Amino acid sequence: MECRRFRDIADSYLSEELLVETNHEVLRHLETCPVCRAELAARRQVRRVLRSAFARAEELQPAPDLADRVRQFAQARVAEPEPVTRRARVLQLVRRAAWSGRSVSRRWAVAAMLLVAAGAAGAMVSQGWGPLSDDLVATRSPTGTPTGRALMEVAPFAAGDHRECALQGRPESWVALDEASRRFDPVYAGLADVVRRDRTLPKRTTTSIADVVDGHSCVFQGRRFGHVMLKHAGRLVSVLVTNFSVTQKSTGLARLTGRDGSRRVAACSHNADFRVACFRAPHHAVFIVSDLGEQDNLAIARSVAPSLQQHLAVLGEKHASYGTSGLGDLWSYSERTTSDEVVPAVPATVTLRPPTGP
Amino acid sequence: MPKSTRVGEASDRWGDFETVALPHLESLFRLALWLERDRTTAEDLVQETFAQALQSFHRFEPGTNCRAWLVSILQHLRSNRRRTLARQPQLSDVGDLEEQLAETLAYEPPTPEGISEEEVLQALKKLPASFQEAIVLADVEQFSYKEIAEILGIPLGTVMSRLHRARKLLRTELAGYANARGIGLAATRAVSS
Repeated sequence: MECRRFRDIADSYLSEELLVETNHEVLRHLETCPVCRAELAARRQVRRVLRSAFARAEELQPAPDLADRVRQFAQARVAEPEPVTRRARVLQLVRRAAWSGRSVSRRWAVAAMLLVAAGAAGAMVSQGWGPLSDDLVATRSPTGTPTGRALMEVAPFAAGDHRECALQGRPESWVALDEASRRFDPVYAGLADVVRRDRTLPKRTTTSIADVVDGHSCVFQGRRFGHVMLKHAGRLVSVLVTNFSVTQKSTGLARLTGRDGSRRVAACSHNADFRVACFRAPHHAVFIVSDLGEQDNLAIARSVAPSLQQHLAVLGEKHASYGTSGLGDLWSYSERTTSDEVVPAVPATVTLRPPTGP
Repeated sequence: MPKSTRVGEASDRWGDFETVALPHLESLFRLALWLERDRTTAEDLVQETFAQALQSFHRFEPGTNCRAWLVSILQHLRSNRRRTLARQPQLSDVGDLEEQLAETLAYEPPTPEGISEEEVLQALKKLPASFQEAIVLADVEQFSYKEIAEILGIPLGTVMSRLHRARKLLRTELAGYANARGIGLAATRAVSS
């Protein structure tokens, strides 16, 4: 074998990709050629250095929590049932991709929006999780009470805001929480931090909320929300706080109030697009909206409820312009208005506007 | 099927997955990061790769190369992502480039000794993306030529020629570093000794 031929196949020799006969030829040549032996040793060393550089380079090291995040994400994915229709599968893929990372989110969001605009929505399959605590799922729907019915009327606004603001990035009247707390409602102050405190889900669930992504105040069809976005299992979850009160004395509020007096989380999903969970707090209602499974969405609502209720109880009382001042079950249905914002009364039925473009 | 059985199966599947697949997470991330040059994208790709791998883990044949299987999924996701983002496919211009390089690299440079880790990475970064991909899969990840062909979805012959040219180009780059630092070349040292 000539040295030139050896140099051509030396790398394949190192990769053990040569035929047995050629291998023997190489070995025979190496016995007699110190130059090619040195060349082979140098190439072997380059590979060794390259492998070690890859393993040790600081710039290539994964974040310490990547393994945990991957575990959570993968397990959450497996917990979802497979979509039953092609359209549902496409939608699910789009939604997964839309929130899998900042680098692709905007383009994917546009794709998702176009799909939804094309009428592909509504085919998502409800995604169930494992069993959760009994008290969490005790209140399935609040429609049996006046308060519940009022909550159900506001729920489509919350879902609409989640779609327009969180998923499509087109909020009406985006205002930072601090500024919104001065201009519209003091409870918006520090809302993101309050939610951030309660990122851990109940013990029986298998994952936790990954992170608070954003906090601001926005408007959907005239209704203002304090909006905190979370990322959970690769999906975006909206925590929406809005003014809420009813005038008539309710007779069925017990269903929404636990034995310890705490207000319970209820499911108030109104269509197949999103899961909506809600709970009351003084002068306010809180909605949790996502395209997670119903149980999952309720679990998140349950996890953020205590600190949010406490926060709203403290700051909500400072709100002087309510029809009543948080007297138990007696609620004023009139919305609070400010000098620079007029909030219309909640209509009996709400028609969500179709998306019109990116 | 009783629920407890399903739970048991899911638990077994997760246990196997954790033992067989998850140990490759770090190397898969490094590969993704090197190829994509963006940490967020790499994390997303790895996350999605393992989620899809777990979902179809029942199709993985025990005893076969799990890392190659994972890299195939990663590569598939990368291709989809490139198509989705409507970027210029990086491999489309490889044919011309390879031909050009084949002409300009008739001279085979000897491999320098004493190259540092940093220099190797710097030299590798200067190569075309498809060449980097081939070298990383072959020399870092140590996949066989056949596995690389399957991962990249290209013929075996193309893998061999691409690797041959990629390694030659890498040696040329390394020789530049060696000359600049006055490091001896292997062949020269062998002759002088």
